[in-house]
Amino acid sequence: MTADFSQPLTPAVARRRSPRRLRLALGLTPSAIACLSWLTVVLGVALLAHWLAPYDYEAIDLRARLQPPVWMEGGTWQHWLGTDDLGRDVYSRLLHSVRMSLLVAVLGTIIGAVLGTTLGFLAAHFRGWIEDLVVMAIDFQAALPFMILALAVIAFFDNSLVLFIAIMGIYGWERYARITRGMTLSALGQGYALSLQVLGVPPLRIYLRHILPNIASVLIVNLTLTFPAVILMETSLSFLGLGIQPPQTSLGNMVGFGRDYLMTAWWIAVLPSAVIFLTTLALCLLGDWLRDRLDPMLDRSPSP
Amino acid sequence: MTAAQPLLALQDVSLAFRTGGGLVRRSRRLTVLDGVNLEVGAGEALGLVGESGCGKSSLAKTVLNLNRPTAGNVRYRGRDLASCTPADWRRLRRQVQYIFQDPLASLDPRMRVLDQVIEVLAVHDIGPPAERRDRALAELAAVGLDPDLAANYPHALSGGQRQRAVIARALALDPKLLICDEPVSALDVSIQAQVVNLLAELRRARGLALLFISHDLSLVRHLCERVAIMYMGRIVEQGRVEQILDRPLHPYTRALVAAIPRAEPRRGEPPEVIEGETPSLLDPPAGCRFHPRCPRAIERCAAEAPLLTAQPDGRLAACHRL
Amino acid sequence: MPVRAIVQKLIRAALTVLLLLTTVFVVLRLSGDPAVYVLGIDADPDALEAYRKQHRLDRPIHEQYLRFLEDATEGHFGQSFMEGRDALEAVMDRLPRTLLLMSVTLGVTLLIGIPAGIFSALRRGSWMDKGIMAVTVASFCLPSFVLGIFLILLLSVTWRILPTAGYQTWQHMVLPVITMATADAAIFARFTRSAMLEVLGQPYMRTARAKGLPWARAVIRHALPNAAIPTVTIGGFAVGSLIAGAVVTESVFAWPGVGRLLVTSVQNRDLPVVQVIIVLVAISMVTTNLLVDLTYGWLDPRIRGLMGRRAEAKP
Repeated sequence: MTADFSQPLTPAVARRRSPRRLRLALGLTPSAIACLSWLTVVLGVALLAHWLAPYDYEAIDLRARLQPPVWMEGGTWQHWLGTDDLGRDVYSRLLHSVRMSLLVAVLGTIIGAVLGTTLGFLAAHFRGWIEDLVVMAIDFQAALPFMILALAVIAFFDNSLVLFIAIMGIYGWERYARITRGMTLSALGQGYALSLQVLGVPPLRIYLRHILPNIASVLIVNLTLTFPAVILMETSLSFLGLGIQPPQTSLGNMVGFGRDYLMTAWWIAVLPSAVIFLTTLALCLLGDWLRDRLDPMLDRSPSP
Repeated sequence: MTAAQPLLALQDVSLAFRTGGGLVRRSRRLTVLDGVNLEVGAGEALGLVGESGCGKSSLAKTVLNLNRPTAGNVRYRGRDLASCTPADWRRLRRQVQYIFQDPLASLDPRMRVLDQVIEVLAVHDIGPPAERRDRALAELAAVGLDPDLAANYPHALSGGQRQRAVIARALALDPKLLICDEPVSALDVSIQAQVVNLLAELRRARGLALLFISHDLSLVRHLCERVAIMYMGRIVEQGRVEQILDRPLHPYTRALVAAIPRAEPRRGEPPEVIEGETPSLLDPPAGCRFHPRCPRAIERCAAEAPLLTAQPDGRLAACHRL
Repeated sequence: MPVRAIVQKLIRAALTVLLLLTTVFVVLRLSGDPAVYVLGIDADPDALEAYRKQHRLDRPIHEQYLRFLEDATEGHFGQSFMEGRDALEAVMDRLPRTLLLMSVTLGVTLLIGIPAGIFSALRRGSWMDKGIMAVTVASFCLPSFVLGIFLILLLSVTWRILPTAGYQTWQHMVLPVITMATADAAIFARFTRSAMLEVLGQPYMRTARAKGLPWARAVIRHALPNAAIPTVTIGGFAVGSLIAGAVVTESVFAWPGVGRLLVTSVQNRDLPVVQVIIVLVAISMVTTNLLVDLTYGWLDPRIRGLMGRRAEAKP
């Protein structure tokens, strides 16, 4: 249900948009609400990890090694989700891992979106060799699976948190660039952008106040696709020991360390795995739902 | 400076592109405009008529500096456009405006029509900000869009209303010359007449000069004083509207005029039908570009391109048979 | 398809590989002194000098570049210092195991993914369709290492029917293949489904029914071939996904293939081996994309015809 734009925004129309109508108009399904709730929890944990965690995530206590969660035999409320092989509290590490993974994912997504959109605009505006360069870069990145690219960069340049976030940023940029360039080119061709140019509107204003709002919905949809993908990439790399390095902890990190203890202390790996799964699932489902709201005509098959 | 200096003058304007071309293919030269001479005087309406692909739109875009001519020059009020700086162009935008064929594509789908007119005023710093809204409303009223309609988004308006909005937006800058590129081709026939009448009225009220590009001769007759006929990038005939349309000289013009649907078809006279299709611009015919399809072609036509020469009644025509 | 177009594509593919090699060279030089990498930062200065001389690191950069390319074409990328032997050899040793894993995975992916997608499209809206779509979303969102861990936990640790690690018997392959195939099969299923749906909605399908053609035949003769065309285009993506999946999955299951080698090489900064693997991956991807491009053009008669007529474009 879209808002009725054919009527001017008179007071009578504005009154009709009460909260309940708004929620129905937004089309919140039970599953969308469930996803939003989980994600809110995750976000809350990420922001408040410092205060929620009973222990320092690095605190080693060798007397309390490999304690199971509280509902199993041998578990205590002291470490209600158990401890790992160095006696570190799993619950505290989980909280901080969520914070770390989310931080990296958000930063990476933002960097990718800004970088990609800007380059897309530049390519469409200047054409010529700038566009050729950007298109070549897009093709080059699309030619290799990103995992390999990331590993290569880490191999050559050593691993630091800043570099890693930069890599996550580069993960998504090419899709934004491709979308922005394509849609800007079509807008510039025979459309309002050309008219505005003829009317004397300066190019920057055309891009920021006209083109960008018009392609925003497609970009947002892309955002919902790339954000979970960045989380998945980060956790995979951290799992391999090549992402976020100790003493920093991340969800992938924890699973990586816990893999060797699957027989004896499965909770070390399973609990962060569950968090990863639930979070990316919530993001994917929410993304689908958001796509439906923004434009039911968009093609929903996942593109590589 | 003569008394009747034209507002807009194109002198021997040619426009060519290179197409295709890559690692393996060689690029070809596409001549879109070839030695075009045109003038539009202040307050006068010139029609430009031709088939799709003859170069009409490219000519309009060249005037707007969206294309650089490969030969010849375009002058506005005597000033060569090629020598204009970006600052000059900002001033020039207020003098020369352009109406596209597709009004829906010309308007930002996410802004209300009224806001789009206001924005144009804001960008050019016209009038005190507080008054801009009223000025915009006045412009929209002048084209027949009252404030209720003006508050709509483009997709909520009809085709005719949208085109009026586009006209209002262009006229908000108070230009001296309005270039209309097939402004009514996308509209229903009944609406076409309305918009054309609106243009005629606005012309009278503001002393506006018009370059009216169309493939529809009857509209041109209604609106313009002079007309130029274009074929494959060249002007083949030019003169007063009554002259050209009542007594066409060039074979192409004759065929165009004969093809105009009439309320009472003249009996007994078969219409002069042109054979074949317009050749590709990549491989234009030598000599007169029309000669392969011309019923009156002679040998000379294939060898030598006819020049636009003055005829006894004052018009210009390019044909060896005259 | 005209020879010109094919040659063009081959040239582009070759250029991409060349560009990649150049990038590797530049990055290698940028990231520091190769001698120090190979021999270690505490190595004897004389040894470092000798290494530099031996590898012509004291020559002008363009000479180094040419030698680099020359060596690359011969497969000489240096010595793996983890294993003390030729890097290419080290990789080639493990390649068959990875190829085995990848090919079985591809087979499973296609066998499950494509029929699932077709079935889903034919039974659109039914609970089976919804079920399959729900499963695909979940698989798509699940990181493969998480799936691997869960499978190990369930089938190896708890139920003890399959081994956790190693590579000797076919049982060792089951879990890694399932892990890798799940996400890819999900993508194939969704893609095939939308390709089928698009084809099924076309007017020519209705015409086939109107002609009196039984539905099954209409599907097999008209829908499937037309839906196959866009499905070919994700072939390139599928190979890339297999490669990336192999890296993670081999680590989860301690499968001694090229993927695992890459991870350990990156951890230990064994740059020669990393180089070899990158180049191999690039060549595979470029080749796959080229094949996909050619196959797609050959399959789709519209493009086949278009290729021939492109030279005479009408304005």
